[in-house]
Amino acid sequence: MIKAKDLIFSYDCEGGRHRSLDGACITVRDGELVAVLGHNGCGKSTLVKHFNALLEVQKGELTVAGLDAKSEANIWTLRRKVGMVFQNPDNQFVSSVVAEDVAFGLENYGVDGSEIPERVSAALALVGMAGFERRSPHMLSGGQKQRVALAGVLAMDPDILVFDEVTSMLDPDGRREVLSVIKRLHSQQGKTIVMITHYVEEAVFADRVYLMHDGRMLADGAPREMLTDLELLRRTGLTPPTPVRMYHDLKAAGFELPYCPLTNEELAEELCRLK
Amino acid sequence: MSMTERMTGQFIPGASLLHSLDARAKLFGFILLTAAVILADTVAGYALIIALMLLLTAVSKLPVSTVVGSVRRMFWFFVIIFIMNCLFYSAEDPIWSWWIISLSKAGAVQGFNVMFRILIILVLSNIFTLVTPPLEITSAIQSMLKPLKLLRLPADDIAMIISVAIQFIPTLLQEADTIKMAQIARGARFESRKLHERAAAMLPLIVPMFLSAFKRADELATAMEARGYRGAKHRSGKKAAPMPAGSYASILFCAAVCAAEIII
Amino acid sequence: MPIEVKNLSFTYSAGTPFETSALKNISLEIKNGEFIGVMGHTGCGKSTLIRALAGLLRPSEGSIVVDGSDINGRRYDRSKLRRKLGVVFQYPECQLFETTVEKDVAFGLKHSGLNKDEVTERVRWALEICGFDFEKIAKASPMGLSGGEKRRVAIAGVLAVKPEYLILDEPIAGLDPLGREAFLELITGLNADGMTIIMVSHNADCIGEYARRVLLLNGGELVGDGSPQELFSDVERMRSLHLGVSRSREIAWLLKKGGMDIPQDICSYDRLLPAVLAHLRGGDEHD
Repeated sequence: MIKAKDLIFSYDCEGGRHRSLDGACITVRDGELVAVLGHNGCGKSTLVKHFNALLEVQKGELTVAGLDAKSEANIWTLRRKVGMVFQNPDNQFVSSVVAEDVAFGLENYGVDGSEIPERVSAALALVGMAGFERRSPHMLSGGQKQRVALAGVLAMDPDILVFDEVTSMLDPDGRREVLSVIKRLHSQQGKTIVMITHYVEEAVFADRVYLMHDGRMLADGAPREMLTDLELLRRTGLTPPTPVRMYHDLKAAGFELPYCPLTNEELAEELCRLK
Repeated sequence: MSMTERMTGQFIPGASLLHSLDARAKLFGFILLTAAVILADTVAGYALIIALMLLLTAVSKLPVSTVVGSVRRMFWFFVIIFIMNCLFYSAEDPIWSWWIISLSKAGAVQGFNVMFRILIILVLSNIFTLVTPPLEITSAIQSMLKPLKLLRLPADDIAMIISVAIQFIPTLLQEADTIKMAQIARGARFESRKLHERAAAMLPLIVPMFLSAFKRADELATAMEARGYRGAKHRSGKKAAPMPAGSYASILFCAAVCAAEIII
Repeated sequence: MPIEVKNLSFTYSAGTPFETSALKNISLEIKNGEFIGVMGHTGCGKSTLIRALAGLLRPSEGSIVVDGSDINGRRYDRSKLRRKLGVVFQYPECQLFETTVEKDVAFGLKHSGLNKDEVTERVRWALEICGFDFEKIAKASPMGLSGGEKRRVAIAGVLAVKPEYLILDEPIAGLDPLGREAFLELITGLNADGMTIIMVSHNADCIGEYARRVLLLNGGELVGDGSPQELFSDVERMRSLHLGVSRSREIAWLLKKGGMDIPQDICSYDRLLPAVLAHLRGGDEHD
């Protein structure tokens, strides 16, 4: 469970002080997959970096997994409970051996050495990278790198997983691989997941979507509500998924589908039925 | 791409005895054998070394051309080393001498000695890197740093820094390559002949590389923090896997060669 | 023929156990004013092709002739090629290095022979076409800009030499939807003014909606050269090449599978919508 209320975060920059969070509120329930959508620079990265105390709460309230994020005593527990994967697959490896990298977090928390190899292999298996223990991360594809980074986080068995634009530097294959692992972790492992992205399509399978703009939330709700609202998407600085665009264009031309489809498959099905 | 390829070292995967040995044993053995080569100074000693090289090549199951590999391209380097030693060795009974140049039998022997040792050490290091993946070499070096702890140096932190730095090298090399290409495409002239021009021409490469390295280091530091890093002393003591018996046997073998060279 | 590639091959680390051929016997012609999309799975040889076209790599075999001269010929002046052909590499914002935006954009004009005023005019033109207010941005430090702004400054730096040919490697990677749209509009505008565009991207949408010709690379070989309509029509093949097709094409394909008789050479939204409407209105009217 994550509960953030009126978070404000500002920092000094060339043109004075910049407020990247301006009263952001978010609630993520246990076992929920929440997508935070917003354009570059809307403050979504800044927001999630508060969840594991990478950034200190300047103003506002934040409780994560029952812990007060403002208390300094909680920092290390928080980081163990909240696993985070970052955007650039090349900038999160500490070792040139996959297994050693995955073990990094465990060693930081003093996990007994004899337990480590087993947990490393289990984590790699969870992300579909079993057997890559002795490989070198830089020889892997982007999607594989991100999955190894995820394994490093999973090895610590965190309650909450935070994905900070993890697919934005990947090719279509890599994106598919990583997204399917995220979906599986949510549905089979029951992990609580916060995923930030500017790809509207990636939010379709979320339980709930937050639309973020200029450091605060514009709206939140089910993907079917949030991603079909053209005006809301426009205000967030996002473009609607193609099926949504088509639904509205058809409607303007006098053809109304029974509901607004979110995926290509839904659109095709409804159109063929209309015929 | 080409640069990263070179970075992956010259390791050739294989299933030979040499491939299967523990990297620490190979590194230790390499050091012992290098010592043996330097100690060798008699005909018998040389014969032993040559026999050893043939044995290693055979055991590695690598083609001779690959083992000798880059050494062949250094032919002129060896010729020059030989000639320099021949000419500048001040022996007591020169065959011919003029000014500081003197030609002697002892000089020729010395030239041959130096040339032979460099050549053998190069081939030896070739074999070592051909049968050992670069990342295993790194961790072998790291485990050799362990004794630094006795000197109260932060061996674990040093090992961490080395590990992180090494895993960044391929990425940074690749990036340097791309930035260089990008600047050349924009008209940068790195190949300028004049020294001061060349120094200035490097700025479009050096500045972005620095910025990028800092950015990467910053992101990596954040990622490390997120994974609970707070200095090496908090980490669980990593017990290195014990070396298999075969590895000890190989170290023993190398030590024996070394001892033999001392005796001969 | 403006760019003529003949039997181009490139082999990395030739003569070593790591020998890999990145390009195999590629021949193609590029006409003035084309908008070409290059697609291929990671490691297909896209980067090598870009570098070879830009004269940054000497091909192992074959030739590249630009405006009548072989760019690898012994007497060819490479600086001529640098002024004719601009390259925007992936994440171009990494290449910024000057203290001000103006100086950085002017970097490529150093050896152009233009005088100071002409250089300033060019820099102004390039920055304005990339959506900046010259007066406001010229003296700013490129390091203090946002990621999207940095990228536009870097592109302005390539455009400043007014190249006839522009090669772009994954130019929209990492941009958000509005950034992507603005960027593609810029490129379309340049193309409308006569600039030849060669855009490498694994984003099938951006190729399907904007490119008029597509080159498909796989394992260093040219496995497709035609309009997006032609190449995207075989959805299964595109998938087998790990490429996929544009969303509009995928919708048309799904509609056909669902029993709707809709043209299968649709790959952009502005053709999909009228086709669907025509179908819904007409029933059996076909045009």
